Order: sequence, then C-alpha cells, then structure tokens
Amino acid sequence: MKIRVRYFARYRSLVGKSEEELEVPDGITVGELIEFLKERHPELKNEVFAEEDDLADVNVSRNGRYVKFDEALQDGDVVAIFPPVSGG
Amino acid sequence: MKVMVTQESFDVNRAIELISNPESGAYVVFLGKVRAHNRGRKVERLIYEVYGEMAVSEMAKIREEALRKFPIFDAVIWHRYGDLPVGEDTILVVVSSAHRKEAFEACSWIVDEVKRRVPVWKKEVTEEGEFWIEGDRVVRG
Repeated sequence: MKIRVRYFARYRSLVGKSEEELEVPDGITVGELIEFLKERHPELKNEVFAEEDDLADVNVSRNGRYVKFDEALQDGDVVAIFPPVSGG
Repeated sequence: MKVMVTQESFDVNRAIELISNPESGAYVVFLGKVRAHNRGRKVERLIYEVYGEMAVSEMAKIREEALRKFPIFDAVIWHRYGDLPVGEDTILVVVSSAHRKEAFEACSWIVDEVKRRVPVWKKEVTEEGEFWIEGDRVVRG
C-alpha cells in the first residue's frame, strides 16, 4: 500500500525533504513504519533515534491527529513525524 | 475566523469583535511577542514553521475543550508563522466571559495547551547561530 510521510522542523532538515510517498507492507503499524524510516534515513537513526529511549521525543500524527505507535496504517494515510512542539 | 494560523500581523480589536456579546463583562487578551533574549542568547528573530492543517484542527479542539471546561462565552486562538523579528506578535488568545476570573483561567489554560499540542516549531536566529526549540530542548540548527 502507499502512504505519504511528512517531516517537519529539524526532522525535515535532517531528511532533506518535507514529504515523500512510500510503498509499505499492508497493515504496517506506526512503530513498524518508524523502523522502516530509520533504515531509509540513517540521519534520522543517528540524530533522532540514537538514544536508548529513542521514541520519547518523537511525535507522530496520522491524517492530522496524534497517534499511538501500535496503531495500524491504511492505504492513502498521511503520516507526519515531528519533534516536540514549541509554539507560543 | 476564531481559529487560524497566519503570516499577517494581528488586528487585536478585530479578534475582540469576533467574540463580543452584550452579556460579556470580561475580555482577557494574551498577546505573545518575540523576545530579545532567551536563556542568555541574544535573539534576532524567530522562524516559525507550522503543520497548517493539523495546527488549525488542534487549535479548534483546544477551543472546543475550553468552551466545555470553563464557564466562558467564546474564545479566539490565532498563531503566526514565518519569519518574525524581535517585537513581532506570535500568538493571540482572547476569551470572553461574564466575569474576569473564568476568562483569566481559560486564557491561561488555552495558551498552555497550544504550547503543548499544536504542531508549531520555532527556530531562533541568534548571534551564536541558529537553534531549533523542541519542547524544553535546544538543538543547534
């Protein structure tokens, strides 16, 4: 199935693009997608996921809503990966 | 629009008008601006990046939650993005209610929730270089 992954702020700079369309296994979970992205983008693996508690700082949204790592994705989903927010 | 992200500077009176009603005796306005210093660094400007669609839906949720949680009449939540020098407006929250106490409380709660949940990120441009602000962390950009 196809999904769209969007990157924001520092993660966008690290990956070097703001979004990409990816072919991923049907029913992949958010957590599995993160593993997939770590392999695809070593810079994310080294700069974002290098620490022991490597998911602590990473926010993920699915179609514009915050999502948990065990949730399964569907064809056409838009997943965004971004650092802790700092608005205001 | 009661909830929006924009590159334009704020018209505060317009925001107040949007939620005016004859029963409101209290309007609390919080206006955030770009500050010249942050944790010892001299800031020239902030570059705000936003995930627009999600930011607006998250701000709309916060507004609806505030309307349920506090005995207020209405609320405006606006956030700016783009390149903002020191002194520029960054966030505007206006709350209307019958009396001031609930308006102050709701306004403070809304600002906290925006800072916690809305997908907006600031990059500081300082004399020492550029820094991403990620929650409480500062990471060289």
